[in-house]
Amino acid sequence: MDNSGKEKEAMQLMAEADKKVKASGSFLGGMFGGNHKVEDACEMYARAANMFKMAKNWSEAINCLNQAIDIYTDMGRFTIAAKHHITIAEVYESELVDIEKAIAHYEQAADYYKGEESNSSANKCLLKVGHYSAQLEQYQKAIEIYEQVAMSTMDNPLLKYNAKEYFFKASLCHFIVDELNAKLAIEKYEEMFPAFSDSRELKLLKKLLEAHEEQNSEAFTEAVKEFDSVSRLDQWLTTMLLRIKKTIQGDAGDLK
Amino acid sequence: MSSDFETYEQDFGTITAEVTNKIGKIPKLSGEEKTQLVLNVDKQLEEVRELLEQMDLEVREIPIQSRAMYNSRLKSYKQEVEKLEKDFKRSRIAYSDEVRNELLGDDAISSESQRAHLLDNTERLERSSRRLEAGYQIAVETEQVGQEILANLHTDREKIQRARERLRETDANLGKSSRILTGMLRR
Repeated sequence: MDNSGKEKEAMQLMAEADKKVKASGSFLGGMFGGNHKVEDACEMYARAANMFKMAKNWSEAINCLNQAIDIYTDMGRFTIAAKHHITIAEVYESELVDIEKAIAHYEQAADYYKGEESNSSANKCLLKVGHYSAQLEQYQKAIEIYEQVAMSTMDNPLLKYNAKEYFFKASLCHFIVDELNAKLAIEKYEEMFPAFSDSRELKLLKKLLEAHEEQNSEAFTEAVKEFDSVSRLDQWLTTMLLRIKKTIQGDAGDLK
Repeated sequence: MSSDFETYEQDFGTITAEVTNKIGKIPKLSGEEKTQLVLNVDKQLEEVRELLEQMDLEVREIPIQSRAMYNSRLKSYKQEVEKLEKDFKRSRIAYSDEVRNELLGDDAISSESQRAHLLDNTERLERSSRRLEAGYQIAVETEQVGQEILANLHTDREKIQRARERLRETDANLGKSSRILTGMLRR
Protein backbone atom coordinates (compact mmCIF):
# COMPACT_ATOMS: atom_id res chain seq x y z
CA MET A 1 0.00 0.00 0.00
CA ASP A 2 1.46 3.38 -1.06
CA ASN A 3 1.33 6.62 0.93
CA SER A 4 -1.90 7.89 -0.63
CA GLY A 5 -3.62 4.57 0.16
CA LYS A 6 -2.49 4.79 3.77
CA GLU A 7 -3.70 8.37 3.96
CA LYS A 8 -7.11 7.38 2.59
CA GLU A 9 -7.43 4.62 5.17
CA ALA A 10 -6.40 7.04 7.89
CA MET A 11 -9.03 9.54 6.74
CA GLN A 12 -11.71 6.83 6.86
CA LEU A 13 -10.69 5.81 10.38
CA MET A 14 -10.75 9.45 11.44
CA ALA A 15 -14.23 9.99 9.98
CA GLU A 16 -15.49 6.86 11.74
CA ALA A 17 -13.98 7.99 15.02
CA ASP A 18 -15.63 11.42 14.65
CA LYS A 19 -18.99 9.70 14.09
CA LYS A 20 -18.59 7.58 17.20
CA VAL A 21 -17.70 10.61 19.30
CA LYS A 22 -20.78 12.48 18.05
CA ALA A 23 -22.97 9.42 18.63
CA SER A 24 -21.77 9.06 22.20
CA GLY A 25 -22.51 12.73 22.74
CA SER A 26 -26.22 12.31 21.99
CA PHE A 27 -28.66 11.49 24.82
CA LEU A 28 -29.57 7.99 23.60
CA GLY A 29 -25.99 7.23 22.67
CA GLY A 30 -24.92 8.16 26.16
CA MET A 31 -27.55 5.86 27.62
CA PHE A 32 -26.57 2.83 25.54
CA GLY A 33 -22.85 2.15 25.69
CA GLY A 34 -21.60 5.69 25.12
CA ASN A 35 -18.38 5.01 27.03
CA HIS A 36 -17.60 2.01 24.88
CA LYS A 37 -18.06 4.06 21.70
CA VAL A 38 -15.73 6.77 22.96
CA GLU A 39 -13.04 4.20 23.72
CA ASP A 40 -13.44 2.77 20.22
CA ALA A 41 -13.13 6.28 18.82
CA CYS A 42 -9.89 6.81 20.75
CA GLU A 43 -8.46 3.58 19.39
CA MET A 44 -9.44 4.61 15.88
CA TYR A 45 -7.77 8.00 16.31
CA ALA A 46 -4.59 6.24 17.44
CA ARG A 47 -4.70 3.87 14.45
CA ALA A 48 -5.36 6.79 12.10
CA ALA A 49 -2.38 8.62 13.62
CA ASN A 50 -0.18 5.58 12.93
CA MET A 51 -1.39 5.48 9.33
CA PHE A 52 -0.65 9.18 8.90
CA LYS A 53 2.81 8.61 10.37
CA MET A 54 3.43 5.84 7.86
CA ALA A 55 2.30 8.20 5.10
CA LYS A 56 4.63 10.83 6.60
CA ASN A 57 1.74 13.25 7.09
CA TRP A 58 2.98 14.47 10.45
CA SER A 59 0.56 17.33 11.09
CA GLU A 60 -2.49 15.08 10.59
CA ALA A 61 -0.94 12.40 12.81
CA ILE A 62 -0.49 14.99 15.55
CA ASN A 63 -4.05 16.21 15.05
CA CYS A 64 -5.43 12.67 15.52
CA LEU A 65 -3.36 12.10 18.64
CA ASN A 66 -4.50 15.44 20.09
CA GLN A 67 -8.12 14.43 19.62
CA ALA A 68 -7.47 11.10 21.34
CA ILE A 69 -5.72 12.98 24.18
CA ASP A 70 -8.72 15.28 24.67
CA ILE A 71 -11.05 12.30 25.03
CA TYR A 72 -8.72 10.38 27.36
CA THR A 73 -8.24 13.39 29.63
CA ASP A 74 -12.03 13.89 29.79
CA MET A 75 -12.33 10.24 30.80
CA GLY A 76 -9.62 10.69 33.43
CA ARG A 77 -7.27 8.23 31.77
CA PHE A 78 -4.15 10.34 32.03
CA THR A 79 -1.58 7.58 31.57
CA ILE A 80 -2.68 6.87 27.99
CA ALA A 81 -2.98 10.61 27.34
CA ALA A 82 0.61 11.00 28.55
CA LYS A 83 1.76 8.23 26.19
CA HIS A 84 0.17 10.07 23.28
CA HIS A 85 1.85 13.31 24.36
CA ILE A 86 5.18 11.48 24.24
CA THR A 87 4.40 10.19 20.74
CA ILE A 88 3.65 13.76 19.60
CA ALA A 89 6.83 15.03 21.27
CA GLU A 90 8.87 12.36 19.45
CA VAL A 91 7.38 13.44 16.12
CA TYR A 92 8.29 17.05 16.89
CA GLU A 93 11.84 16.22 17.95
CA SER A 94 12.79 13.78 15.20
CA GLU A 95 10.59 14.60 12.21
CA LEU A 96 9.45 18.22 12.40
CA VAL A 97 12.46 19.35 14.46
CA ASP A 98 10.41 21.80 16.51
CA ILE A 99 12.14 21.38 19.85
CA GLU A 100 10.05 23.98 21.73
CA LYS A 101 6.85 22.08 20.94
CA ALA A 102 8.51 18.77 21.80
CA ILE A 103 9.46 20.25 25.19
CA ALA A 104 5.87 21.41 25.78
CA HIS A 105 4.48 17.93 25.09
CA TYR A 106 7.11 16.20 27.24
CA GLU A 107 6.24 18.60 30.07
CA GLN A 108 2.55 17.83 29.70
CA ALA A 109 3.26 14.08 29.71
CA ALA A 110 5.41 14.45 32.83
CA ASP A 111 2.59 16.37 34.50
CA TYR A 112 0.06 13.64 33.73
CA TYR A 113 2.42 10.87 34.88
CA LYS A 114 3.07 12.69 38.14
CA GLY A 115 -0.66 12.92 38.75
CA GLU A 116 -0.92 9.18 38.21
CA GLU A 117 1.99 8.48 40.61
CA SER A 118 4.15 7.18 37.74
CA ASN A 119 7.24 8.96 38.97
CA SER A 120 9.80 7.06 36.91
CA SER A 121 7.92 7.76 33.68
CA ALA A 122 7.50 11.39 34.75
CA ASN A 123 11.23 11.64 35.40
CA LYS A 124 12.03 10.21 31.96
CA CYS A 125 9.96 12.96 30.38
CA LEU A 126 11.47 15.63 32.61
CA LEU A 127 14.97 14.50 31.67
CA LYS A 128 14.07 14.98 28.03
CA VAL A 129 12.84 18.47 28.88
CA GLY A 130 16.09 19.19 30.73
CA HIS A 131 18.14 17.81 27.85
CA TYR A 132 16.49 20.02 25.23
CA SER A 133 16.21 23.07 27.49
CA ALA A 134 19.98 23.04 27.95
CA GLN A 135 20.47 22.70 24.21
CA LEU A 136 18.22 25.71 23.68
CA GLU A 137 20.33 27.59 26.27
CA GLN A 138 17.52 27.69 28.83
CA TYR A 139 20.02 26.71 31.50
CA GLN A 140 18.06 27.76 34.56
CA LYS A 141 15.16 25.54 33.56
CA ALA A 142 17.52 22.64 32.84
CA ILE A 143 19.25 23.08 36.21
CA GLU A 144 15.94 23.03 38.07
CA ILE A 145 14.85 19.86 36.27
CA TYR A 146 18.14 18.00 36.78
CA GLU A 147 18.23 18.96 40.47
CA GLN A 148 14.61 17.94 40.95
CA VAL A 149 15.14 14.55 39.28
CA ALA A 150 18.42 13.98 41.14
CA MET A 151 16.75 14.68 44.47
CA SER A 152 13.88 12.33 43.72
CA THR A 153 16.26 9.52 42.71
CA MET A 154 18.81 10.15 45.47
CA ASP A 155 16.93 8.32 48.23
CA ASN A 156 15.63 5.52 46.05
CA PRO A 157 17.66 2.30 46.44
CA LEU A 158 17.19 1.44 42.76
CA LEU A 159 17.78 4.88 41.28
CA LYS A 160 20.42 6.41 43.58
CA TYR A 161 23.22 5.33 41.21
CA ASN A 162 21.81 7.64 38.53
CA ALA A 163 21.78 10.70 40.79
CA LYS A 164 25.45 11.55 40.18
CA GLU A 165 24.80 11.79 36.43
CA TYR A 166 22.00 14.31 36.98
CA PHE A 167 24.07 16.35 39.43
CA PHE A 168 26.89 16.32 36.88
CA LYS A 169 24.60 17.65 34.16
CA ALA A 170 23.19 20.31 36.47
CA SER A 171 26.76 21.34 37.37
CA LEU A 172 27.68 21.69 33.70
CA CYS A 173 24.66 23.93 33.13
CA HIS A 174 25.74 26.02 36.14
CA PHE A 175 29.27 26.16 34.72
CA ILE A 176 28.06 27.59 31.41
CA VAL A 177 26.12 30.30 33.23
CA ASP A 178 28.80 31.21 35.76
CA GLU A 179 31.95 29.60 37.16
CA LEU A 180 31.34 30.72 40.76
CA ASN A 181 27.79 29.38 40.60
CA ALA A 182 29.18 26.04 39.49
CA LYS A 183 31.59 25.90 42.44
CA LEU A 184 28.84 26.63 44.94
CA ALA A 185 26.49 24.15 43.27
CA ILE A 186 29.12 21.40 43.36
CA GLU A 187 29.72 21.99 47.07
CA LYS A 188 25.96 21.83 47.67
CA TYR A 189 25.63 18.59 45.69
CA GLU A 190 28.53 17.01 47.59
CA GLU A 191 26.81 17.81 50.88
CA MET A 192 23.46 16.52 49.67
CA PHE A 193 24.80 13.36 48.06
CA PRO A 194 28.16 12.17 49.49
CA ALA A 195 28.53 9.47 46.81
CA PHE A 196 29.01 12.29 44.30
CA SER A 197 32.34 13.15 45.98
CA ASP A 198 34.04 9.95 44.79
CA SER A 199 32.70 10.05 41.25
CA ARG A 200 34.71 10.46 38.06
CA GLU A 201 32.27 13.19 37.09
CA LEU A 202 33.17 15.35 40.08
CA LYS A 203 36.89 14.85 39.46
CA LEU A 204 36.38 16.02 35.89
CA LEU A 205 34.38 19.06 37.05
CA LYS A 206 37.13 20.06 39.48
CA LYS A 207 39.79 19.75 36.78
CA LEU A 208 37.65 21.81 34.41
CA LEU A 209 37.09 24.50 37.03
CA GLU A 210 40.82 24.67 37.66
CA ALA A 211 41.60 24.89 33.94
CA HIS A 212 38.92 27.55 33.51
CA GLU A 213 40.30 29.60 36.39
CA GLU A 214 43.76 29.48 34.86
CA GLN A 215 42.28 30.11 31.39
CA ASN A 216 44.19 27.04 30.24
CA SER A 217 42.44 25.46 27.28
CA GLU A 218 45.10 22.71 26.94
CA ALA A 219 44.48 21.51 30.49
CA PHE A 220 40.73 21.66 29.81
CA THR A 221 41.06 19.53 26.67
CA GLU A 222 43.39 17.10 28.44
CA ALA A 223 40.89 16.58 31.28
CA VAL A 224 38.06 15.99 28.81
CA LYS A 225 40.20 13.57 26.77
CA GLU A 226 41.06 11.61 29.89
CA PHE A 227 37.38 11.30 30.80
CA ASP A 228 36.42 10.37 27.24
CA SER A 229 39.07 7.64 27.11
CA VAL A 230 37.21 5.75 29.84
CA SER A 231 33.60 6.36 28.77
CA ARG A 232 32.78 8.05 25.50
CA LEU A 233 31.12 11.45 25.79
CA ASP A 234 27.66 11.63 24.27
CA GLN A 235 26.52 14.43 21.96
CA TRP A 236 24.89 16.48 24.74
CA LEU A 237 27.96 16.42 26.98
CA THR A 238 30.22 17.24 24.04
CA THR A 239 28.07 20.26 23.16
CA MET A 240 27.96 21.55 26.74
CA LEU A 241 31.69 21.06 27.31
CA LEU A 242 32.45 22.83 24.06
CA ARG A 243 30.32 25.78 25.16
CA ILE A 244 32.29 25.94 28.40
CA LYS A 245 35.59 25.65 26.55
CA LYS A 246 34.67 28.55 24.31
CA THR A 247 34.32 30.78 27.37
CA ILE A 248 38.06 30.38 27.96
CA GLN A 249 39.58 33.60 26.62
CA GLY A 250 41.25 33.52 23.26
CA ASP A 251 40.09 30.02 22.50
CA ALA A 252 38.29 29.46 19.25
CA GLY A 253 39.15 25.78 18.92
CA ASP A 254 36.93 22.86 19.74
CA LEU A 255 37.18 19.64 21.72
CA LYS A 256 39.43 17.20 19.97
CA MET B 1 116.84 -24.77 31.05
CA SER B 2 113.18 -25.58 31.06
CA SER B 3 113.27 -25.80 34.88
CA ASP B 4 114.47 -22.15 35.04
CA PHE B 5 111.63 -21.18 32.69
CA GLU B 6 109.13 -22.88 34.98
CA THR B 7 110.57 -21.05 38.02
CA TYR B 8 110.08 -17.76 36.18
CA GLU B 9 106.57 -18.90 35.32
CA GLN B 10 105.74 -19.48 38.99
CA ASP B 11 107.09 -16.04 39.95
CA PHE B 12 105.10 -14.53 37.07
CA GLY B 13 101.91 -16.19 38.32
CA THR B 14 102.40 -14.97 41.89
CA ILE B 15 103.18 -11.37 40.93
CA THR B 16 100.35 -11.08 38.36
CA ALA B 17 97.86 -12.40 40.92
CA GLU B 18 99.01 -9.72 43.38
CA VAL B 19 98.88 -7.03 40.70
CA THR B 20 95.33 -8.03 39.67
CA ASN B 21 94.21 -7.86 43.29
CA LYS B 22 95.79 -4.43 43.81
CA ILE B 23 94.37 -3.03 40.53
CA GLY B 24 90.90 -3.95 41.83
CA LYS B 25 91.54 -1.97 45.03
CA ILE B 26 92.88 1.23 43.39
CA PRO B 27 89.48 2.83 42.43
CA LYS B 28 88.18 2.37 45.99
CA LEU B 29 91.03 4.37 47.51
CA SER B 30 91.88 8.04 47.45
CA GLY B 31 94.69 10.40 48.41
CA GLU B 32 97.95 9.09 49.84
CA GLU B 33 96.81 5.46 50.02
CA LYS B 34 95.96 5.45 46.34
CA THR B 35 99.31 7.03 45.36
CA GLN B 36 101.23 4.42 47.39
CA LEU B 37 99.34 1.53 45.84
CA VAL B 38 99.80 2.92 42.31
CA LEU B 39 103.57 3.17 42.85
CA ASN B 40 103.61 -0.35 44.28
CA VAL B 41 101.74 -1.79 41.29
CA ASP B 42 103.99 0.16 38.92
CA LYS B 43 107.04 -1.44 40.55
CA GLN B 44 105.51 -4.92 40.35
CA LEU B 45 104.61 -4.46 36.69
CA GLU B 46 108.25 -3.52 36.08
CA GLU B 47 109.26 -6.79 37.77
CA VAL B 48 106.84 -8.68 35.54
CA ARG B 49 108.38 -7.09 32.44
CA GLU B 50 111.85 -8.13 33.62
CA LEU B 51 110.57 -11.67 34.20
CA LEU B 52 109.22 -11.73 30.65
CA GLU B 53 112.64 -10.67 29.31
CA GLN B 54 114.31 -13.44 31.34
CA MET B 55 111.80 -15.95 29.99
CA ASP B 56 112.47 -14.71 26.46
CA LEU B 57 116.19 -15.33 26.92
CA GLU B 58 115.49 -18.79 28.33
CA VAL B 59 113.32 -19.71 25.35
CA ARG B 60 116.10 -18.79 22.92
CA GLU B 61 118.39 -21.32 24.58
CA ILE B 62 115.84 -24.14 24.35
CA PRO B 63 116.33 -26.62 21.45
CA ILE B 64 114.37 -25.81 18.28
CA GLN B 65 112.13 -28.91 18.39
CA SER B 66 110.55 -27.95 21.78
CA ARG B 67 110.87 -24.16 21.39
CA ALA B 68 107.47 -23.67 19.68
CA MET B 69 105.52 -24.72 22.79
CA TYR B 70 107.44 -22.34 25.07
CA ASN B 71 107.08 -19.54 22.51
CA SER B 72 103.30 -19.83 22.54
CA ARG B 73 103.28 -19.80 26.37
CA LEU B 74 105.48 -16.70 26.39
CA LYS B 75 103.19 -15.02 23.86
CA SER B 76 100.14 -15.60 26.09
CA TYR B 77 102.03 -14.19 29.11
CA LYS B 78 102.90 -11.07 27.13
CA GLN B 79 99.21 -10.62 26.22
CA GLU B 80 98.31 -11.04 29.88
CA VAL B 81 100.78 -8.33 30.89
CA GLU B 82 99.42 -5.98 28.22
CA LYS B 83 95.92 -6.53 29.60
CA LEU B 84 97.15 -5.89 33.14
CA GLU B 85 98.77 -2.62 32.05
CA LYS B 86 95.54 -1.49 30.38
CA ASP B 87 93.53 -2.40 33.49
CA PHE B 88 96.06 -0.53 35.62
CA LYS B 89 95.71 2.62 33.52
CA ARG B 90 91.91 2.37 33.70
CA SER B 91 91.91 1.76 37.44
CA ARG B 92 93.81 4.99 38.09
CA ILE B 93 90.99 7.08 36.58
CA ALA B 94 88.06 4.77 37.35
CA TYR B 95 85.19 5.71 39.69
CA SER B 96 84.25 3.00 42.07
CA ASP B 97 80.63 1.83 42.22
CA GLU B 98 81.04 1.72 45.97
CA VAL B 99 81.96 5.41 46.08
CA ARG B 100 78.80 6.18 44.07
CA ASN B 101 76.72 3.91 46.27
CA GLU B 102 78.12 5.53 49.40
CA LEU B 103 77.00 8.88 48.05
CA LEU B 104 73.60 7.79 46.77
CA GLY B 105 72.88 5.23 49.45
CA ASP B 106 72.35 2.52 46.89
CA ASP B 107 74.07 -0.82 46.99
CA ALA B 108 72.71 -2.09 43.70
CA ILE B 109 75.22 -2.72 40.95
CA SER B 110 74.40 -0.91 37.72
CA SER B 111 74.93 -3.20 34.80
CA GLU B 112 73.62 -4.20 31.43
CA SER B 113 71.65 -7.11 32.86
CA GLN B 114 70.06 -4.77 35.39
CA ARG B 115 69.07 -2.36 32.61
CA ALA B 116 67.49 -5.21 30.68
CA HIS B 117 65.70 -6.25 33.84
CA LEU B 118 64.38 -2.72 34.34
CA LEU B 119 63.16 -2.51 30.75
CA ASP B 120 61.45 -5.84 31.16
CA ASN B 121 59.74 -4.65 34.33
CA THR B 122 58.69 -1.38 32.68
CA GLU B 123 57.15 -3.28 29.79
CA ARG B 124 55.34 -5.55 32.21
CA LEU B 125 54.04 -2.54 34.14
CA GLU B 126 52.80 -0.91 30.95
CA ARG B 127 51.01 -4.10 29.96
CA SER B 128 49.43 -4.28 33.41
CA SER B 129 48.43 -0.60 33.19
CA ARG B 130 46.77 -1.19 29.83
CA ARG B 131 44.92 -4.18 31.25
CA LEU B 132 43.83 -2.16 34.26
CA GLU B 133 42.60 0.66 32.02
CA ALA B 134 40.62 -1.80 29.91
CA GLY B 135 39.23 -3.32 33.10
CA TYR B 136 38.28 0.13 34.36
CA GLN B 137 36.50 0.93 31.09
CA ILE B 138 34.54 -2.32 31.33
CA ALA B 139 33.68 -1.53 34.96
CA VAL B 140 32.34 1.91 33.96
CA GLU B 141 30.34 0.40 31.09
CA THR B 142 28.97 -2.25 33.44
CA GLU B 143 28.00 0.46 35.90
CA GLN B 144 26.11 2.33 33.17
CA VAL B 145 24.31 -0.82 32.06
CA GLY B 146 23.50 -1.58 35.70
CA GLN B 147 22.04 1.89 36.16
CA GLU B 148 19.80 1.43 33.13
CA ILE B 149 18.66 -1.98 34.36
CA LEU B 150 17.86 -0.58 37.81
CA ALA B 151 15.91 2.31 36.27
CA ASN B 152 13.93 -0.17 34.16
CA LEU B 153 13.29 -2.31 37.23
CA HIS B 154 11.98 0.74 39.05
CA THR B 155 9.64 1.56 36.16
CA ASP B 156 8.39 -2.04 36.12
CA ARG B 157 7.92 -1.95 39.87
CA GLU B 158 5.72 1.13 39.57
CA LYS B 159 3.69 -0.52 36.81
CA ILE B 160 3.18 -3.64 38.92
CA GLN B 161 2.18 -1.55 41.93
CA ARG B 162 -0.34 0.38 39.82
CA ALA B 163 -1.73 -2.85 38.38
CA ARG B 164 -2.04 -4.21 41.92
CA GLU B 165 -3.94 -1.11 43.04
CA ARG B 166 -6.28 -1.40 40.07
CA LEU B 167 -6.85 -5.07 40.84
CA ARG B 168 -7.75 -4.15 44.42
CA GLU B 169 -10.17 -1.50 43.18
CA THR B 170 -11.65 -3.96 40.69
CA ASP B 171 -11.96 -6.54 43.44
CA ALA B 172 -13.77 -4.03 45.65
CA ASN B 173 -16.07 -3.05 42.77
CA LEU B 174 -16.78 -6.70 41.99
CA GLY B 175 -17.61 -7.26 45.65
CA LYS B 176 -20.08 -4.37 45.55
CA SER B 177 -21.60 -5.65 42.28
CA SER B 178 -21.93 -9.11 43.78
CA ARG B 179 -23.74 -7.73 46.82
CA ILE B 180 -26.07 -5.63 44.65
CA LEU B 181 -26.89 -8.61 42.42
CA THR B 182 -27.49 -10.82 45.47
CA GLY B 183 -29.86 -8.16 46.83
CA MET B 184 -31.67 -7.97 43.49
CA LEU B 185 -32.04 -11.76 43.36
CA ARG B 186 -33.50 -11.83 46.87
CA ARG B 187 -36.14 -9.32 45.87
